[in-house]
Amino acid sequence: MVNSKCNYDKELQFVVEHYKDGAMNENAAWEQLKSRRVKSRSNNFRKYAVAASAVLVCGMAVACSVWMMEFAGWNKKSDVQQDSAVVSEMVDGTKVFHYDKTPINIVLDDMALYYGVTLIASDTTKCVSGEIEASEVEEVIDVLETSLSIEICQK
Amino acid sequence: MYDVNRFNIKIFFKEHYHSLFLYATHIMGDADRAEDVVMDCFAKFVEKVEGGWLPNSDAKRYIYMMVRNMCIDEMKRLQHIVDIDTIGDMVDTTDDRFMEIVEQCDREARLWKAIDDLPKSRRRIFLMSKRDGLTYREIANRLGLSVKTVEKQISNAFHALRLINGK
Repeated sequence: MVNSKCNYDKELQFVVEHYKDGAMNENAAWEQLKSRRVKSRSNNFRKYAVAASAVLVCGMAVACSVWMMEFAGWNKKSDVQQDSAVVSEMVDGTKVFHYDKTPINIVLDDMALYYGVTLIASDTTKCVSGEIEASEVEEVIDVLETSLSIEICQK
Repeated sequence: MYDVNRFNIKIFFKEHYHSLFLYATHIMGDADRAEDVVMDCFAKFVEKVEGGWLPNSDAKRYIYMMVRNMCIDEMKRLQHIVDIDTIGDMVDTTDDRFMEIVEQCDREARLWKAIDDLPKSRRRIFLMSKRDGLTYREIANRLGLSVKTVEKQISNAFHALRLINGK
């Protein structure tokens, strides 16, 4: 009984220490729980929406990066084509140079590389697109002079 | 005790909310945080029930364990140093001790409700004395009452509270 009295006093003291007016209204708490659940559901919905948009964004990012890569690749390819010709050699030794908007100076550098000759163009602003098929450097000079209406001299 | 088919979350909540609130307050030492934890636990509990989980006779123990674990997690999160001497007893999960804890929290919940039910002025005087540690004279001076009245009010309050738990 003494022990029980002691417990009672302790328990009462504990309750009194933490007591707050209206803190334990179960009806208000139940309403709060319901609204919290609604909120958490809408949060869930928001989470799904966020997840969905994240997926969408990721998808777009991937698509975008693929596109960027392609773009970069295309650029690179075009750079390569601009920097040096894509060259293929046929069975009879005829070389085929592939160009795409490549400045004439670069084309002439290629000729120097493949034929060991230094060529100078009268107009260096022109660009070359297409294929040049030639077994000798003279053929290349002819094609370029004719198609670009320029003069090329050999040093 | 809980017929699965008749399990009513609202009744379950109202039946255990107060005791769990006090249980969490024992562990956390803070009524506001305790309230948050209990609400979070119930929200999870309800989600589980709605998700098809059928509470059995252990539902009460289950929610107590949820509250216990979440309190401990919360304390860790807040980096509170847990005083084992103070709360160790309250987080004991052995069957016998668990029953004692639940009974204690139920008794405390009844006390809380009894304080709630006191007439407003009596409650105020009672709390000024027991919670705020004011003397009868200080209370009398503050409220412009006679010391005799304060004594009477506090005596009545104690009487009402003792009746609650049959002491």
